[in-house]
Amino acid sequence: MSKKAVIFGATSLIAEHTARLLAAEGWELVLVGRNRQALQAVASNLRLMGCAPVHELLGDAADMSALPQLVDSAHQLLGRFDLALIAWGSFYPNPDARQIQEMERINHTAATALAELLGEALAQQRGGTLAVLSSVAGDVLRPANFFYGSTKAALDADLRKLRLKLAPRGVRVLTIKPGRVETPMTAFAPRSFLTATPAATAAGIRRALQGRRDVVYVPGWLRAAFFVLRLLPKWLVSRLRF
Amino acid sequence: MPAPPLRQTELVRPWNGWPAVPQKTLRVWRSADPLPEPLTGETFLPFGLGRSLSDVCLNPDGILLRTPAMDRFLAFDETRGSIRCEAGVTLRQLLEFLTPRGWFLPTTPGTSQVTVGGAIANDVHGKDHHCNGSFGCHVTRLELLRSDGRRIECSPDAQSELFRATIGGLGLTGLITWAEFRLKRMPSPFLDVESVRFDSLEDWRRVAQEDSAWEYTVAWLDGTRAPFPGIHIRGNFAASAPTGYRMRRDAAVTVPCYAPGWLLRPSFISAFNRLKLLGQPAMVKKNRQDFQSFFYPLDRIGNWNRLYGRRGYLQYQFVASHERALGLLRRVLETAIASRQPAYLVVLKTLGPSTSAGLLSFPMPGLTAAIDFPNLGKPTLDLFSRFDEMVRTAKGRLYPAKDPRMSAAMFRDGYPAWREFSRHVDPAFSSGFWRRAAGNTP
Ligand SMILES: Cc1cc2nc3c(=O)[nH]c(=O)nc-3n(C[C@H](O)[C@H](O)[C@H](O)COP(=O)(O)OP(=O)(O)OC[C@H]3O[C@@H](n4cnc5c(N)ncnc54)[C@H](O)[C@@H]3O)c2cc1C
Ligand SMILES: NC(=O)c1ccc[n+]([C@@H]2O[C@H](COP(=O)([O-])OP(=O)(O)OC[C@H]3O[C@@H](n4cnc5c(N)ncnc54)[C@H](OP(=O)(O)O)[C@@H]3O)[C@@H](O)[C@H]2O)c1
Repeated sequence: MSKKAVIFGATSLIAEHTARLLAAEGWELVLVGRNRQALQAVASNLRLMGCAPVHELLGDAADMSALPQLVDSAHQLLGRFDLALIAWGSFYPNPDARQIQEMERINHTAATALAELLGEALAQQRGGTLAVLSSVAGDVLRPANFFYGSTKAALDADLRKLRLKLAPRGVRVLTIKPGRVETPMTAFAPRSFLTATPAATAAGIRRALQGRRDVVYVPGWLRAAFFVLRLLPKWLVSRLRF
Repeated sequence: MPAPPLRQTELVRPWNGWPAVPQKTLRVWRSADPLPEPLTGETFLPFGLGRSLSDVCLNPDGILLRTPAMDRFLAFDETRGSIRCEAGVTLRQLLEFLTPRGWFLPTTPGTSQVTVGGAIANDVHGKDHHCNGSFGCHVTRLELLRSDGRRIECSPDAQSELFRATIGGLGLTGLITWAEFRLKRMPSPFLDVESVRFDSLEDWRRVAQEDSAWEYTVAWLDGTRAPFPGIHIRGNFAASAPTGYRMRRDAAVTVPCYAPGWLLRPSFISAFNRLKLLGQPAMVKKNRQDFQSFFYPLDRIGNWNRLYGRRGYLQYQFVASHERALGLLRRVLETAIASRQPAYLVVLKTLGPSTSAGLLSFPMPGLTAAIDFPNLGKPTLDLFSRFDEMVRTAKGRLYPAKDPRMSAAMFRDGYPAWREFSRHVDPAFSSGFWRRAAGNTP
């Protein structure tokens, strides 16, 4: 029987490339996104790449009251989740108050609320993986992405809590921390040789899904890099330009 | 609203390496996205994989819209053989999808590293032009995104004028977001290939007269010495063969950096050509090749253009009628030898009678020759200007996709439909090529 995954924020380029790998392996997918046309293109492509059904669900991270209903619909379509992936995210480089609020809501509040709902669904079926796209930005708060980083740091903390709660019930909670990836989200910033492609990041995520870690860095060397960055004194970090 | 995208400046070169232009670039992520907001005076030009050998894919002082992230397949009709995909899908991606299912591209250029948008905008031709016409002949529908925000679905029947302008339209009529085109049945991933040696251009004509039973034909010849011997290659897909073919990776080896300028010398090329001819002592050699080896031999080597050094190379590709083309080719090659700049690579191809799909399509009935020269700067450009006179006299024309220096006069002579075409150009789209070849029009 084919494996099944639900993906929230399926129009995210990182999520889409991850879904391509899953579709090619024969996974059945439910894609949740807010932009109908974009979602359709993503889904049509996945249908041709794979052989199992690909379903579309229209839903917006910003509308938190609709989340339980979305999780229910996805569950009805698939019957069971081997994987639930939360990929949506919002980034503003020099945010005003409203933008800070939006990042907080999308990256943290809504993501955590959804993670709890999905975690419960997985626990009830006694197993499965809940994977959430966080970011290295939460590890060390640098001036370049201070506010974004703090929303991801809060998300990381919530996921740790959730992991403790769900581990005894057989659910794996996987926190994924990519570095800079070339997607619409980062199109405002210059690319460098360190910028990863969505395809390479997806390959890293696919490997991580098979592994056993709770927190993965993509690419893997970022773990060591951020370990060192965390040891730096605050005054030095506050001068970092990246 | 997310943050506005950065217009990052990158040094962009077409595949031949010249000219290199610092370009502001933006990316188009999906076919459903709107065009970016232009700043005042800014023009756009779509950019696929930059496999053109000219400034048709450059827009100095303007913006390049990089398309390869638009790489989604949208629909596939397996019974009728038709596919619809976003314009940044590459021919390589298509081959990976289609060939295991028994389908092949309707026609293909000599590399699979080009996008569907690029193949349409240059209306590319392949070794089968005499049978199957150019790529644009097989396009059944496409969507054009114009700078005023309109999305226009064009086909040979609907918006047909805009359609004809967009096929071979050099990216100037707007952004092609997706396209639908017919496919070709592929009985097997292998081709039966016959290589025939010829001693001279006249001899080539004799050999090529027996081409009628062959779908794919092309000739390679030694341009460094008259009377220009070479090898004529022709192939047909094998009727049936064992399936389970797995495509090889492209760029299995990569040229790591620019070779020093002295590496590819005329004497080296001449020796190489002789060896290549000696390599086939028999007049006729028959063998079976997989489609990758047959159609895309150069795709196995990444960045082979770097072998020409930092200054790159220039290709001179013309087409002329059957009656005049061989004489023209001989004059061109002899002029090159006389000016001590012999041609490094010469490829000769018959173009069939099928009417061109686009207003500015390059193919016309006759012969086309593509001739590579290392770029020596002014001496090479001067030599090309002398060729230009010969081509004009022979009533031929040049291929915009391969020509970063053709004059406005040369372009207008060769493409009398340019004036009609220019009515369809999107006011916010432009290119280096277009400003040179049609700019300052009365
Ligand atoms: C090794 C090699 C072999 C080749 N062999 C052949 C051959 O046999 N026959 C032949 O005809 N050509 C041949 N070519 C040329 C090549 O096929 C064409 O230049 C092709 O158009 C390149 O495609 P691209 O995706 O790289 O486009 P680019 O070079 O990036 O762009 C080409 C043009 O297409 C436009 N364009 C790209 N995408 C879009 C879009 N989405 N909407 C609107 N306009 C768009 C650009 O603005 C530009 O004008 C060869 C090139 C190489 C390097
Ligand atoms: N790109 C990077 O460098 C990078 C690095 C580390 C972590 N990440 C994380 O990876 C995840 C995926 O990002 P990506 O790089 O793939 O970016 P992306 O392609 O730009 O995708 C962002 C996704 O978030 C959704 N989204 C954005 N704002 C939203 C809002 N206000 N309400 C609802 N949905 C919203 C988008 O939906 P629409 O398509 O409808 O707009 C899209 O699905 C994010 O969580 C991001 O934080 C990215």
